[in-house]
Amino acid sequence: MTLKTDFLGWLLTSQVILSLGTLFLPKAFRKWCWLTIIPLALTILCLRWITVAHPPMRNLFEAFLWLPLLLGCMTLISLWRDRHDTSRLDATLGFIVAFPLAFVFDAAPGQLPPVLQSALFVPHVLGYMIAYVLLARAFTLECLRHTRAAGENAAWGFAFLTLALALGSYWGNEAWGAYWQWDPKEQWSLATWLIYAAFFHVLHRRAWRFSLLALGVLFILLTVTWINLSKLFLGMHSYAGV
Amino acid sequence: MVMKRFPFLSESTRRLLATMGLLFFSAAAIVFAFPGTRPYLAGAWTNAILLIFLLVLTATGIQALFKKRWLSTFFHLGAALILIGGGLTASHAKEGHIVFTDALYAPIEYRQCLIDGDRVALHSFEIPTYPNGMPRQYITRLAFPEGLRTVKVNAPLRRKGWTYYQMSYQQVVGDYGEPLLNTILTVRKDPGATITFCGYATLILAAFAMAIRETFRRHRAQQQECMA
Repeated sequence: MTLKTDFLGWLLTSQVILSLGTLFLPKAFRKWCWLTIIPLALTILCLRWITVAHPPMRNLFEAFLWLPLLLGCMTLISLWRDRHDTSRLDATLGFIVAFPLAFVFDAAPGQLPPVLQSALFVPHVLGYMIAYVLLARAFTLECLRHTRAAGENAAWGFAFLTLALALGSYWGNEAWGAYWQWDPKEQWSLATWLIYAAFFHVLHRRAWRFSLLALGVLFILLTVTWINLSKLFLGMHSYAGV
Repeated sequence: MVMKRFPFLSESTRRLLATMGLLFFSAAAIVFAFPGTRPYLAGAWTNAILLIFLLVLTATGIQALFKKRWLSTFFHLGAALILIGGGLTASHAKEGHIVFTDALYAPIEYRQCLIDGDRVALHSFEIPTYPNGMPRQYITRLAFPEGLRTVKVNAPLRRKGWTYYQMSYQQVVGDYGEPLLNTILTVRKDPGATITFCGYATLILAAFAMAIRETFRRHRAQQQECMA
């Protein structure tokens, strides 16, 4: 665990403080905390994009930079459109994302290897990031018993998960000559997709819904962290944890 | 009549069985992600399980079609198409590897080969780099009877049903101790890929249609709550 002392590092630390603030401040202030997180996350993304001169999605650190922005937008949409105050639970998710960004992941800039220089790079990674945020929120909404909102979030999350998986497969065919390589990360992504496919078969059973949404979030966490960072699962996506 | 008799299990039981089946495949996907498990993947029992899965998907898709449940039809038939494409790839895809040495004096068999009766020769191989020395791209130029064509990572070359992929490179030492580069290409013909991608497109359409349907349903439910 290291403290990043450059300008980007301080912005990332501010993001952690704001997500902590959102967790503990009264309801009236929480909306304003999220309203501050969005421009802050956008500034961090732009700064990183300019510094590295490519879309910031090359590794886990850069992919995680998108999550606070997406999470902030979805929390505020939920608050204004549906009157569901999920800001505290979303802040927990925000903290889980912001903490490793500020103190754990290596922020050293790097160049894009040839395999990542593709028009499919941004839609594939962004599709997964949107899907992960939506599916994590589906779980939090289910915890708060907003069943319909959870179902809607899960449906959109599943759609983006399908899109990202299919785009990755098509990209694999263009880059490596095969649309399925039995790569560990591909396998875990498929396993996650199958969990959510199972979820849509048991929509009316509350215990199953809750268990499958929880299992799905656990799989997402394992896919983005353990599979990327562990040396056990070396494969075609090994550069992602660098 | 036949379609009425087909669902011999109740809707609820079938959904539960489908859930168990999907969880089984999810667990299998994870097991085969671990190192050393790949040899157990290729076997008659795997093919048998996937064939049963394909039959169930197709039957469910056709049944949904008769019941005019369009989303279910698209989901199940899309997944069935992916499995059919995968089966065709596993059984009919052809693949070969070419290693060319980028040196003018290299023996001819290191610089050219025959593919479907056409002579394919290496014209050049380049590795442009970033200022820090990291490779920016791998570029192989091949000479075909009709002229020069380029293969790069993420930009494969398609010619007469074959696709040429830039896979890798090697640094080797020549006969006189000089550094040489080998370019490694994969040549592949896959009749299953198009069917699999059609399956993916069907699944994507169905998934987004389901998301839109959920949004409308929720909106309608909210309106009804407001009116009540």
